[in-house]
Amino acid sequence: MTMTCDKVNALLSGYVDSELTAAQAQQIEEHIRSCADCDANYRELTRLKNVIEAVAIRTSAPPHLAQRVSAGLKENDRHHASWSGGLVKLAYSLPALLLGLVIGWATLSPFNAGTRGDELPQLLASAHIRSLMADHLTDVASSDSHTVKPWFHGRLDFSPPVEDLTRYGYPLLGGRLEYLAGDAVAALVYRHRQHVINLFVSPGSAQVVSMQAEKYNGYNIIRWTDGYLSYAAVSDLKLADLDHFRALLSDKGMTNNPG
Amino acid sequence: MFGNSKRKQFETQFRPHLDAAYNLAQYLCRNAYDAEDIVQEAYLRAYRAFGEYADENSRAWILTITRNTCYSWMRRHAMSLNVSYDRQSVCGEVDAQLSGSDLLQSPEQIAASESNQKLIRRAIESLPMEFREVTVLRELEGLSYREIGQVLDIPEGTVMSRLARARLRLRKLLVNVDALK
Ligand SMILES: [Zn+2]
Repeated sequence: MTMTCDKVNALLSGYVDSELTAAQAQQIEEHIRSCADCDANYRELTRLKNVIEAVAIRTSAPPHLAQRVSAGLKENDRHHASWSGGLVKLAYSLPALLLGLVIGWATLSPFNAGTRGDELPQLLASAHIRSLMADHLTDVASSDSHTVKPWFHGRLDFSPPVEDLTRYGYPLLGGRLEYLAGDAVAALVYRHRQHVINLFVSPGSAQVVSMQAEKYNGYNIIRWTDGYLSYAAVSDLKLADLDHFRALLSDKGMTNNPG
Repeated sequence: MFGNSKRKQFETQFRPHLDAAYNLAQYLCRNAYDAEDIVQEAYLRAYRAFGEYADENSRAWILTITRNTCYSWMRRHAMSLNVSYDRQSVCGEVDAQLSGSDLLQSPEQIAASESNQKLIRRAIESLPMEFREVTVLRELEGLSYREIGQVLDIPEGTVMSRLARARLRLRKLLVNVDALK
């Protein structure tokens, strides 16, 4: 008994991949020996497979990726060692923020690295003010996160997450390189109504997830970390709105805490 | 606390699959920068689940996680899973570029041409997600049907029929390459 052409066609891919049973393979061979159409299909399929194999269009991982992954795992171990789920939940609740509570472990926040904790709000606020005054809001002006994100590539040794929050009322204006206490950080610029938000992102090595809100010279500042990167959002927005912005970023997965 | 030894063991076992994970991520999200982030996240997820991991096929396992991470990443970043490149424009591009390469004969010669490399890559990238992933896993990573079925969570028979349909599409896209024989 011989296979129908339809049946052969259904199995031909498996045949060129040597994934059929010996019995199936034999039936296919018999069929294509006597069927010009199926034989032509078989040859075309083989040829396509050979061409794709020959072009070798596989992309290898860039050399720095292995290091990045490695560092991420190490960070995870450090992070995990002092992780506390309950405190995190507390830290992220807005009412606690509005009470003016300073939550978390400010001294461990990576944004404090190399800087005394009490200097940082001033640094952040002045960076924000500078960006508004000097016509230097953005180095790369684009509302497209796929334009802004790659722009940082090669300019920073980490990759800041860039989220499009336009539909939530926080359009992205662009990004720029900023220096805080001598360290290069990413500044992502968003707008909410007529208010500009500077979101500063720096590589973090936080021991614990922490968050705090403060006011400096009339500007609201919310700082937090997700264990991988540290964030500081600065704006003259109301604290509740700025925290909404912060929550949107967290929801979008910036706080890298799957599960 | 996690020991150093667990991390070392994980890295020894999974580092050899980094290229495969990156290649898959890049074909699925079609963006080199996102692919890096996805791979990092996938490895982190894998590491966190490493304790429960009992399967001996570490390549299929990390590719499964990478693929799932791609999907959640794209959903999270509101990237459409199903938008393929405009078929018309891919065909047009393929046609236009191939007209100047009539003398090419063997697969090796076709491969030698950088523009053909680009064309074939672009043809694969233009496939809808379900055909693209099966193509990458089979043609580029050389996984068996069984392994592909594991990664995509589908029966082996479905792997075969999906691959067949993917190849049919590729043949149409690359019809002029085939015509060169
Ligand atoms: Zn036939």
